Amino acid sequence: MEPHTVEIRSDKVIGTGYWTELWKYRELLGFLAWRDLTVKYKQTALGVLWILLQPLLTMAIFSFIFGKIGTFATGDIPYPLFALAGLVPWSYFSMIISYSSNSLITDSNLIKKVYCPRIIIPLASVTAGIVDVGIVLGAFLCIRLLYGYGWHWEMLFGLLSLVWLVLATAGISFWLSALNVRYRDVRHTIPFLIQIGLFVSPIVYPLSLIQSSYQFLYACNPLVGVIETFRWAMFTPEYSIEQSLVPIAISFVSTALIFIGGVRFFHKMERGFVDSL
Amino acid sequence: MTIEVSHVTKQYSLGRRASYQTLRDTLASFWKRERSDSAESFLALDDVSFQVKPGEAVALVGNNGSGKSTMLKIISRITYPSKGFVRITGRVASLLEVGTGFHPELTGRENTFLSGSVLGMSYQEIKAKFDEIVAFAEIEAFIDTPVKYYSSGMYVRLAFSVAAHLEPEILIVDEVLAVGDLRFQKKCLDKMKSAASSGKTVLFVSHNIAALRSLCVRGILLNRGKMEMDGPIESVASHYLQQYCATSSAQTWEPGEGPGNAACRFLKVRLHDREGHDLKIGNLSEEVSIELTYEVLQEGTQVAFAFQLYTDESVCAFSSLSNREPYFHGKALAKGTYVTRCSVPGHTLNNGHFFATVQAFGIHWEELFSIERVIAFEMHDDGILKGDFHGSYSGLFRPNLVWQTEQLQCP
Repeated sequence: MEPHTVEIRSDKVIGTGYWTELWKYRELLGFLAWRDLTVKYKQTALGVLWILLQPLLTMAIFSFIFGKIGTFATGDIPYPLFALAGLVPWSYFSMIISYSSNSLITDSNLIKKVYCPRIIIPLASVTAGIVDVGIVLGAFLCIRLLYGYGWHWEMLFGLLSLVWLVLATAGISFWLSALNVRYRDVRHTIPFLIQIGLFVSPIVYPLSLIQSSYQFLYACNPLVGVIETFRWAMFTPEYSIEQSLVPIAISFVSTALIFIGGVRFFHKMERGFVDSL
Repeated sequence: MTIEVSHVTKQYSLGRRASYQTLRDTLASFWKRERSDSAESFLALDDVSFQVKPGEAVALVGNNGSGKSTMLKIISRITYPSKGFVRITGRVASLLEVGTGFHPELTGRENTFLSGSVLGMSYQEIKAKFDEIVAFAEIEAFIDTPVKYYSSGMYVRLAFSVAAHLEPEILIVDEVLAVGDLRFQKKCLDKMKSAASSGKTVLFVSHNIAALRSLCVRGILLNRGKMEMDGPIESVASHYLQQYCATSSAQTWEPGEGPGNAACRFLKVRLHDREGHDLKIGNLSEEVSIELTYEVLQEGTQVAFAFQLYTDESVCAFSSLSNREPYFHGKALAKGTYVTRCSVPGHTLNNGHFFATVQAFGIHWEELFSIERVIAFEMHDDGILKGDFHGSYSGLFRPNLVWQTEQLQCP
């Protein structure tokens, strides 16, 4: 291999590209994701069951409260299934955001002693969660079958919406984890943010409930597009998408901005991490 | 040139280092004219330049706070210089700590892969060397046990073993030689030596001057962030020992100029014998005392002390804390001058050269300041324990132990 020269300067590193470097460290990303996954469920009595417990119990509670006491117009779709379709992306998002936003602090020992592109540390939590969302998705598909819904090709869009979900979660976690190194205030806002997120995403209620005058602002939440696309993919033709195309588009643009902005912001902040940890 | 360090300066602002900012502070500082940058700052490195040729083994020498660790961190891309640049050609592996990337919940096997990957090995490489790593660490039987159940010796052996099997072109090592028991230390040193002699470029930081002497051909001496000397290891090592390691068994400072802080400041550290006379060479069978004289400058100061005795080779013989002091420990002290003494009984140390490092602690054992290698002394073999044996005793200690023999059976 050609000897490679790197020049470390105060404002930049010359001789290596950001993305080629990231690609070089893909194996480490895999190892860190695998570590996060292994460690999370070691020494727990229920192990992997925990992944399923959270969304399923939430579904049961929501079904009781909103399905029995107050009712939302979910069309022909049974309410528990409707809620669970929202909870599949949501359980991933809420769990991973709280892990990854603190990931740079948890791994500060690594950051202080070894070089790697810092972004792979929050990215590892996001990647590890893909296994979780896969398991939850499997459970959802089983329940969906029990309710008598068959297979159809539009369900592939459900997978695409989950890719969207992962990118949105990654984008937000880049912002939060980088901010958290400098401002530990972030740590205190995460539980609050997650609580709010549950209400400003169409999880327990359908998107049609939101008045059109608020819809633009509402749709800036990346999860709106993710959940709406996922629901449509799972329940078409009972669940139509025509009236939600605009919010989905807004949500998509918002995700792209958050993600690209997140990568750039993280990159700008990362050289100061060691001196702030 | 494999490593080129050019006019590297690293500035830390003291305010920001001491406590992290909250969002509120930053928002508040928007309203104020002056930014937090104007806070007190210090230079960890001040315009340092040097070059390392391929295949050279170089030692970075200096006291704590001389900037050698900061230099290693910059070369390892962990932190960035404030000015100047570092240019590196080749694959770098940095060992700044033993067990980087280890997770206590994971097994030895899992940690070997994780740590190997963290240090820059590929999966294939780790897999190929796995058996060798485990054999070197001598933990075959426990490889599938979570490392949280390991003894500290086992942990360190595995961690070092992973690191020792890296094959970079440039190896950067900080103080990791001082791990494990003496036998394993020797094994590590040999491994490092073979790395250095096999044409790898090596940059070492250690307090162990003897090890550096045997590993490196060239030394670079840093002092308070500045380059002080660059030359053959022999001359750098002896200059360092003379200049920075006490050769005297007593140190005295003018009031206000000694090491310390706003609350407490040293006036004198010395070694004395049972009668209180200054001592430079102690006898093995007799008591020697370390005496700390200091001023308490603030009413109600609470301070505790500790000292460590090191050998020539930087092996710590033992340490002792002033919480054994029955009358003053933990008390709020009135302003004034105090003397604290610790007596080391006869028949404790073996003969040889020793250095004492003194530390001052706050009430929760947070370190306030330390004076490295403040005094040096020699322990002289007065022959009391030798009897008819005329050879030398090995080890750090020469206790006066009781031997007994009984005859159990008569023929």
